[in-house]
Amino acid sequence: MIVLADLTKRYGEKTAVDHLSFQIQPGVVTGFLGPNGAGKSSTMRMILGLDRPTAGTVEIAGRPYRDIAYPLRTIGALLDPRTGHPGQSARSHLLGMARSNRLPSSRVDHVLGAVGLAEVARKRIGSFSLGMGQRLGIASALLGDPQIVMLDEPVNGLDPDGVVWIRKLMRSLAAEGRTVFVSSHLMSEMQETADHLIVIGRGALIADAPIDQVIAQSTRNSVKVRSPQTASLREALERAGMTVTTLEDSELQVTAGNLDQVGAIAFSIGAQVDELAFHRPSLEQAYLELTADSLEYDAILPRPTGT
Amino acid sequence: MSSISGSPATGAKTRGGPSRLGSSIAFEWTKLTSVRSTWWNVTISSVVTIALGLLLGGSMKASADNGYDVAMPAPHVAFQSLIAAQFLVMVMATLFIASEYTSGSIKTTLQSVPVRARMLFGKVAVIAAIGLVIGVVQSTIGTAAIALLAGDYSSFTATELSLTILGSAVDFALLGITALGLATAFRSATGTIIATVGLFGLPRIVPIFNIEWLTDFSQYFPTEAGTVLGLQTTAPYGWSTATLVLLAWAATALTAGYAVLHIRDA
Ligand SMILES: Nc1ncnc2c1ncn2[C@@H]1O[C@H](COP(=O)(O)OP(=O)(O)OP(=O)(O)O)[C@@H](O)[C@H]1O
Ligand SMILES: [Mg+2]
Repeated sequence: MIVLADLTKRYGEKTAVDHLSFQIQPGVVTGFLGPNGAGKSSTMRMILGLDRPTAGTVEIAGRPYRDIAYPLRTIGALLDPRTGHPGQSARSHLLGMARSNRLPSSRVDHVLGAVGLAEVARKRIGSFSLGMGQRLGIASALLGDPQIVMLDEPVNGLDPDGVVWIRKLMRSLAAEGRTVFVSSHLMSEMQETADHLIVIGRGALIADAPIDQVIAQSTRNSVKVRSPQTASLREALERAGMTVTTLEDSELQVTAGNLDQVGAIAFSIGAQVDELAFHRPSLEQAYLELTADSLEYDAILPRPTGT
Repeated sequence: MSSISGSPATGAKTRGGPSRLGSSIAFEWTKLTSVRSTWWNVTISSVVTIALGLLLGGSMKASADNGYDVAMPAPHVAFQSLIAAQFLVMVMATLFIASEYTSGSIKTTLQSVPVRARMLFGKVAVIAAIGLVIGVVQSTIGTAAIALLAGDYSSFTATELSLTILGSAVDFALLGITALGLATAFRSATGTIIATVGLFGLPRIVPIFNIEWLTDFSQYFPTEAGTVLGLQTTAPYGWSTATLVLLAWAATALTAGYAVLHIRDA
């Protein structure tokens, strides 16, 4: 378990992480989401004791990172695909890490095999592709067989096989009861992998909830109803306080209402219903809605040029 | 997907303070020796030392044959030719930490050994050991190269040889630690190497300005102290002061490095 209490980080004037408090539980995959510059990587660097918090604390399994004697055995992390010295081979990079934490060298060969790098183990890291670097980073994270695994954008640069592999890896780590904390910008991937979500924007907490709840809270949950009498049906639904948009001539989209309510209203005014369906938004839609107000780097649209 | 815990992660060895330090040293040793530039560095400085030794030995013999009095113990001549080797040890120590900032691998290092002092001590121990060995080897091969060509004109006693070997070892180790401390503070190879060039060059330039206190001060630069150890001279001070001077440089540079490591984010 990782516990953040009031964690704050300022870089000069810039507040990168703003009074974050949350806990990351074992046995589930916790997704860490937020727009570019939201403070995800900064938070992870503080968890690892690389950056010093301006205020607040982080504890890993009850202790600050620096107090863990052999930290690789407790928490493994991938921060940056550029791990290690470019002149070193993958194997000697991992071997050094293993020696630093008194891990047997059999672990090195094991993780190299597990991430599919056994054949290039003696090649220089500098010659690795982005995806190979990412795999080596994951090997480093798994080296100490840690109970906590933290990955910053692990699928970045991986081929489709690699993406599936990472998803299965995270699921199996969580199933073994480990704590899995992973950041990503790929919402479809997160939707399939994560059980719980932590969403931040501009360094502050926006959501900390199970993924189903995050999606359920979205206003984009809607009911689609098809009927020949859209005009009267629309009026009746709006009278009941629902928001209605006309999709096509005979199709309405209703938000702030559920299937039973829409069906009952249609019945009460005697409208014929040809189709009634619930539309559940994707995680991406729910996420975009959540973070709409806290985009760090909002796209600037071209202005119409006038004279 | 196979489970990641295929082989046991925890060794049977006992834990404890000294072993943590030992594992940090083993880590740094693995890093330094598994990078090719380290071996290039060692090879180049050995080649330079042998070449310079042969050149000096040959010219000593030629001058002596022509009636000039150039006789000098081979170890002392050798030490004077070790300036390039000294510089390369400092470059090696500089790259040892600066390249970690360039490549980003400092994050891996501090993730593995989060206590800053322990990490730095691991590097200090490795550089000290490497410096001692290089000092011994370089002064020995330099002496051999000179004696080979200069023969009797470079005759020396066993005491002279042992003292020069010892002096070189101490000098190289402490110069390496000084560079390591500076590089930890600067976090950049370029800045540190410029500072190192300054440490080597200033004592030679400063007398030109004829400012007395500056000239006095330049006698306490590391290369000057190193020369006292290598040549067993008694001026401007003896071996004990020279050792203290080198220790003071190393300690100051390390303190600066540790302070930066402690205060700044990785
Ligand atoms: N070392 C640093 N010095 C100064 N500012 C920094 C530093 N590290 C991060 N920042 C700033 O802090 C903010 C948060 O950055 P961070 O990298 O944590 O965001 P992120 O959520 O990981 O973004 P992304 O999704 O793009 O990876 C950004 O505005 C960034 O410019
Ligand atoms: Mg990031």
